[in-house]
Amino acid sequence: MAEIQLGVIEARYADMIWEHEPVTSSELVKMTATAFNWKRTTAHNVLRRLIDKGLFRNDNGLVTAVISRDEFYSMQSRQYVEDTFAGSLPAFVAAFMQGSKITAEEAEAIRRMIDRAEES
Amino acid sequence: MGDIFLKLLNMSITAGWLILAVICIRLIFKKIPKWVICLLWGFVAIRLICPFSIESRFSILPSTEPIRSSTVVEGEVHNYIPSIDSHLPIVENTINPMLTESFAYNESNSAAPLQVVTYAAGFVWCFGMVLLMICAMVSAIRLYRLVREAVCVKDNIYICDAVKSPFILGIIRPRVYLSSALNETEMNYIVSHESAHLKRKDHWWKALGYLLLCVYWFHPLCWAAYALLCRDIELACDEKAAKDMTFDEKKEYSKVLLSCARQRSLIMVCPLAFGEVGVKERVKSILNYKKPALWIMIAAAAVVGILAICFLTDPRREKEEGASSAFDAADGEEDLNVENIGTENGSAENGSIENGYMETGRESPEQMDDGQAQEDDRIDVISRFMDIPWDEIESIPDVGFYDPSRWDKVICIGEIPEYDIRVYGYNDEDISGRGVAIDIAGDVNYFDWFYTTPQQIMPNLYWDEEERQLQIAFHIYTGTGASADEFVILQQYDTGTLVPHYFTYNDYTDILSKRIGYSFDNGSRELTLIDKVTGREVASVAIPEGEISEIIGIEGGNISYFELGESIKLFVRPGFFREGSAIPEYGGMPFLEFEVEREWVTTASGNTEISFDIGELVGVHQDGE
Repeated sequence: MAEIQLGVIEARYADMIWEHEPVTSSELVKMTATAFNWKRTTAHNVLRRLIDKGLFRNDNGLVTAVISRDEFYSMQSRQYVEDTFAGSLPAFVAAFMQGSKITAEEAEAIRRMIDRAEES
Repeated sequence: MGDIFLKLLNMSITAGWLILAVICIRLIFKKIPKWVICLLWGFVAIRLICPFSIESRFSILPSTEPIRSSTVVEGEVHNYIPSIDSHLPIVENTINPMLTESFAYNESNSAAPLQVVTYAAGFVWCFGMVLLMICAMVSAIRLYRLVREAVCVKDNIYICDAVKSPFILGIIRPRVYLSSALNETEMNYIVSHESAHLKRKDHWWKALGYLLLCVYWFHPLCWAAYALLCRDIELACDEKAAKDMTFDEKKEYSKVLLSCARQRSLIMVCPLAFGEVGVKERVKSILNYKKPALWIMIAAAAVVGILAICFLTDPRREKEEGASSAFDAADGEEDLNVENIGTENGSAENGSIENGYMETGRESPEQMDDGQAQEDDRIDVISRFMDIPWDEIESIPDVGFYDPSRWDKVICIGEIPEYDIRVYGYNDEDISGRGVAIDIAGDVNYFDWFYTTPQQIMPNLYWDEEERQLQIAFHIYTGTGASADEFVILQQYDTGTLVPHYFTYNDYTDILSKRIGYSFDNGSRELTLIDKVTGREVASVAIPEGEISEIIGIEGGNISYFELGESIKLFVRPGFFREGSAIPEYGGMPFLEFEVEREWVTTASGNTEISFDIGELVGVHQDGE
């Protein structure tokens, strides 16, 4: 999937939708009016943009997610690793850890993840 | 439309000088706090907004009306012929005459070329102004669209995804729009900077500046002024913020500036919102900022004061302009003969005409030594004359003659019917024998001259068709021991204007005094007149006996008259003075007939005029001739 960029406010809006989905577009209008003081048309315009970016879907006024929040952010991270570490996960992890130690729980969780990943 | 544009053009030229001065000051006095420079830009705005100002001697401006819609030619005001008022001789002598020639028009045309040009220019200007205003509106609308998705963070501070470089939008309720991707430190600095802008009301000044730019878009210096104003506003804000920062804070601030910096095309992206301008300059000024020393502030105050006096005040209108401005009527020509007489023979500004009156002892209410009152009278005659409807004047049938009961407001004092020339004189209860209107085939010129005396001898006229010159000899020197003319040649131009050239009483009596000599033989009681130029004896007169015998002097001119025509003659009867007497006697003296010479000369100030001289003695006429 192509790189998707979200602005800070767009991201906030997207989070709002993920939190409440499935939700009607008129509900969203009310929510953004409260949270952002947006007009109806503005809420619709930004929603339209998010739909075009492939995050959500609007069926007759009911807004549902196409990909979940976790899916989306993991996609972002993968894209980030791709861009910044030439796709090398170890390099990313090394950078993430920056020489600090990991706890026993974290090591356990990572080991389990590796096993699962290797199997599939 | 055209007149408005002309007025704006003149205002912009005078403001242009101030803009140049501020630019120079900005370059030279780099240490002056930028808020002071912004104040100077305020002066520029004042100059561009106010059509007039107080007059002062210290004004450096050359003129408040550099491009005039009327020209003064030989003392006559021609409307609708442009001239440039620059006080530079080269302009007076080369450019203005060219303008007069190329814009000369026949009064029968419906519109002068200048009127057409200014009307067209006015339209172009209006179009440009509207265009610029539309640009601003379009930009503003685009920005408002952009920030629809902005979200309020606090008070009037908003963040928006689409905003990359921070700006302020709105004049009445301004809002600060920031990029949503800023971290907290960055946001703090930027907010403090933009708040400083709001506190200084910069959003108003910038809008005002743009509005003035819309009006004065045709003047390139105004664009420079606006661009520099935007810069200086930012710098002033930086200074205000940097005042209380430590060096580290200043570094942080600069970093933030850089990260927000964005390439901006000159001015126009959105004139009402503003963001970063000239980042490099700003970073330098912030890092080097030091609170200005006292002497700098004093120098700054002095500069501001001097600039205000020199450029915010208008130059004093000169005396000659003062006189003519009182005559500024749309129709009819006015006369500045006061100026001409004064300069030609060096006599007092009131001119020889008044002196002549004093000698004859004529009493008239207006004849006071108070120059100011006469100045007012002078103005009054012509305006009173012009108040009389022309058909009333035209219908006066005959050349009038003196009869107090028959004085109407206007009499005809001379005419040449073959050329459709009539000359009229004004007269009412206050003003007598003064005020002349000359009608040559429908072209009328007014002059503030005395045209006769209580003896009511009317002037002589002669029209030279080839040269288009009207010669007039006014018989206005009469009284004890005096009966003399004042002579004028009026040159007619295609526009119908008459320009006077005078051979005044003082002029020719001066010349005569150097021309006529004498020798007196007490024994034979013969007075011999000598022409000093040729050295010849011209006449001998036997002087009758009187109480005192000694002749101490002669003089010529007090009894004289002109004969007009293609060749002009001056007839002079010299008088002699006995010892102890101040009254000249004329018994037995002949009339000397001189030729009057005239030629066109160029004066020191660059004007061309007719210069008169007394030429050959062509006749000596004893009694009875």
